[in-house]
Amino acid sequence: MNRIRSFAVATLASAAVATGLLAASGGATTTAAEDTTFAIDSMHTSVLFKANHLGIANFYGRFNTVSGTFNLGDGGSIDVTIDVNSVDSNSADRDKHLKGADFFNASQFPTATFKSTSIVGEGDEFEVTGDLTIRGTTKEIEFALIKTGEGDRGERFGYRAGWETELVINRMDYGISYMPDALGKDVTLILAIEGIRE
Amino acid sequence: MLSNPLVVETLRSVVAPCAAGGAFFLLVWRPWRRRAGEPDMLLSALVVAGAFAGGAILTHGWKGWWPQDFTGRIYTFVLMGLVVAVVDRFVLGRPKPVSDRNGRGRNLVPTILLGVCIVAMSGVLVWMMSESRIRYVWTGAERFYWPAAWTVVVAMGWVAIRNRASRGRGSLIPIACLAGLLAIVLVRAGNASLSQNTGPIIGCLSAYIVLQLWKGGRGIAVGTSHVVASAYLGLAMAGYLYSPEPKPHAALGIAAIAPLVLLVGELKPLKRLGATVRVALEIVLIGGLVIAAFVASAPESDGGGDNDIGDLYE
Repeated sequence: MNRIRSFAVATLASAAVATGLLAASGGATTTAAEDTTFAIDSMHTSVLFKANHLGIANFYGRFNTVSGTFNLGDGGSIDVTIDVNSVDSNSADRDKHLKGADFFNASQFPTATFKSTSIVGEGDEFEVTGDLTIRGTTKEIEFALIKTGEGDRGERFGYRAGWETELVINRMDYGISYMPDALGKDVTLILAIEGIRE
Repeated sequence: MLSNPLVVETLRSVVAPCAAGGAFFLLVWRPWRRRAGEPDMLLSALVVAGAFAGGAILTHGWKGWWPQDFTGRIYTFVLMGLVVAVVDRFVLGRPKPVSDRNGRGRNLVPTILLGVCIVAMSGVLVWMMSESRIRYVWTGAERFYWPAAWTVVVAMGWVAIRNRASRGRGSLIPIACLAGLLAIVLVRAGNASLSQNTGPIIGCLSAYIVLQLWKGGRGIAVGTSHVVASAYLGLAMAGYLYSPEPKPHAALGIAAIAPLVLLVGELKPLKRLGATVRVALEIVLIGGLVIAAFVASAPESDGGGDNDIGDLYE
């Protein structure tokens, strides 16, 4: 009888400890991959921007060099750095203009950065808040980050995760005020990042 | 026509500040008075400064005080010009050439004071534009010799513009041509908004040229020269330091030292030239510099096109 009682007490205690650990870990929402830090693979990461041209059509451009890390686990962070000099608008002359004082002022501010301050969510979707710095001006932004895929792709490619988001910023907020009548003030940023587990 | 964004942009950042400055100028000067004399040199300086600063803020937006972004500081260039204009007005008393026709110094002490003031304000201008370069880009001795070299270039250009402005009718014509040279070079370098900032200078100078040819007016020219010098040299330096591509550096360098062309009339064999011949000679020389700047900043033949910036947005 005593043995049965001891077993029952031990079982309940184990369950209680397990429950406590579960609660402490954030409600069992974090998978092993989310606790991992990924390094951004610039080759397979896309940063696109979309702006209206003359009120007629949307124009798309991109930045070709992106670096940083992300970790969506507890206490995780997202840190993205974009090389502004890698801007690509399918025209060498326009790229030169975009790098100049009229737009990104790349000589003085060669990078645009994003640093997260809060990441909330679970599974395949997170709400991210953080500081976006463009042209030396930092503004807080929020966006939903959606998982597009994750998995081990063998020795050659390693373990990877992909996330994507789309958000709208007002370029005037970042001091990019050139041609307010010709080019839309609202610019959509599309960020599709692929990371390799570190 | 108003659907063309370039026209709208020009009206907003060039025509509007010039019109406001012109209205202010006329209201203060009141040329319709029977005894309306020549407008004070500080009035002409103030009008150009206001038009330039207004145009710069309308172009680049208000970026707070004290902005990290150099484009947010452009409007302050003319403050240095105004300081020197005030010193010139109250130290030299009335607009005079720095030296007489025989090259002998006049008003030696006030002239030295003016020179010191120009060098000091050139130093401030250079520091304002190169601060981020000094902090983050230049290292070791570069932090001293680049600002020092720029200070020398700016001060020499400033003295050349001031000296030219004080000499005879039509003295503002070559200075306006210089501003045109800078506008072309800046737009070729991919800095259309900086080029736009030369608009109020060219607009005001054009009006002053008419006034100068009509009424004489050395005061207008001298007062204006300090503000124009600070704005011109500040823009040339900003274009050079913050140009995104290495290619236009030579052209912007040419624009930065171009004011020295205005000293050509001080050369002994040319000293006796008439005012018209001298202006014509200077215009020809500035035209030569425009060609040199074009050649220096010519795009690669195979590079992605040779479009004007305007073409890209029209």
